[in-house]
Amino acid sequence: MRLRPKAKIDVLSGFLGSGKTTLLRNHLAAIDSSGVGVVINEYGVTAIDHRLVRYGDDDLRVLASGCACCAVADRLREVLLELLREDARKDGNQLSRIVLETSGLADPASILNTIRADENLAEYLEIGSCVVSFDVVDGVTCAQTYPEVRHQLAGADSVVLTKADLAEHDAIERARSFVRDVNPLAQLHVAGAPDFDVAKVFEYTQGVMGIGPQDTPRHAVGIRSFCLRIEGEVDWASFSIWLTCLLNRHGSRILRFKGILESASYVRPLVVHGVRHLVYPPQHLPDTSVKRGHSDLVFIVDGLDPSQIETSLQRFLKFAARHVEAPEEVRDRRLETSEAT
Amino acid sequence: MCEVCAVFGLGRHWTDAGTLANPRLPAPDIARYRIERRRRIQLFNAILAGTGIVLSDWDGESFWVGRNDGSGERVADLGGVWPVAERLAGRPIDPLEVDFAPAQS
Repeated sequence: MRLRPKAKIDVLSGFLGSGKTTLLRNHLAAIDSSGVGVVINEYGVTAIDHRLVRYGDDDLRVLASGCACCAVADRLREVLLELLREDARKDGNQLSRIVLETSGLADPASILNTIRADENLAEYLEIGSCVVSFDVVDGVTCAQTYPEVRHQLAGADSVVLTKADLAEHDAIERARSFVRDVNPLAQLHVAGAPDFDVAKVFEYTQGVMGIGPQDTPRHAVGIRSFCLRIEGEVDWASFSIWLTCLLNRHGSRILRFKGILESASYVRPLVVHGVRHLVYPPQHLPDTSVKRGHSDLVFIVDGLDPSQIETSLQRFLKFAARHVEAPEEVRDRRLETSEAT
Repeated sequence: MCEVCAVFGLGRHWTDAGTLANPRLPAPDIARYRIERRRRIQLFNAILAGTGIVLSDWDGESFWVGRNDGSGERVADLGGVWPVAERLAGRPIDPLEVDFAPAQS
């Protein structure tokens, strides 16, 4: 039994030197940071970044000598549990949010996987926002050399373009275009712009944002984004099995996916999204959401052919329709249950 | 399954996509999710037909991926079925390579 409300964990990622710590520092200064724990992960053997962040020792933890996505994943788990345990010893379970700054080489999707796959952590933590910093001066060059940058971008809910004050307008636009190609679903911000509100950036997740058909051009680095539209209702059981099968074989190359699905099994549309092998629990859209008669699925893939994925899904849905009984048509039980109560 | 009252729940894996219309009266939704679970197993077995592998429900909480000779492995959720099924079948099951259409004839 869970004895406390879940705390949200936000992941702040970005390549080496892209301005993560500055962003973190600004974020902590902008919010009421009581009840906020901070974990800083550094690849180097000696941690430095935490010294740049003014924060109480009680709620700040440092993980050095490796990436929390791989080498020190177990230690990340321990550190998070330690934060939660210490908070439980205090009065009133104050910890409501944890911000994790990853190392510059970390893959945020793997970190989120670590958290979600651990029964204890999943019981006490829920995934908040994934924010990625992207340096407009060197970011594009780094991304073309290091796949880690592309993975970071692809997993982001929001991307913050940093060091814009050091770059020409063209460089900013090039960075913006690059990020859009890699992850058209992410919100884009420019640090230091008049409308930039770092606290709001961390509040944003892609849970219920609208999506629609799009087909961005093939990117030089092999990452493509495309949208599948499926007319009519999708059988959720069939779709979910197809997706497990696809992720089992190709999850490492499906950098991001997100969809709003309409299914006969549910009264309201479902939002499904994930990062590579990780799929988040589908969200049921609120009562005010009406079905539109089609489903949209956006994929960001690395080295996969969109037409193959589309053909595979269509074939699978046809196959499934022939082999399983039709789903039970769901009624809006809210009416009957409210009468019964 | 609730360990106290022995009532099946909605399922916690993302493939369950479970939600209760009214938490005070969960029975109709739980019954429907049990049917959905059965449908998913039915579909898996249609895909695995001919491989000698059968998927079955394990106490409403997990799954058993088994061969006809009785060997097999328990998996926690549907995402875990594929790696085991591939190992038991001795070949990959790639939805981008497999043409599901002919199997229905």
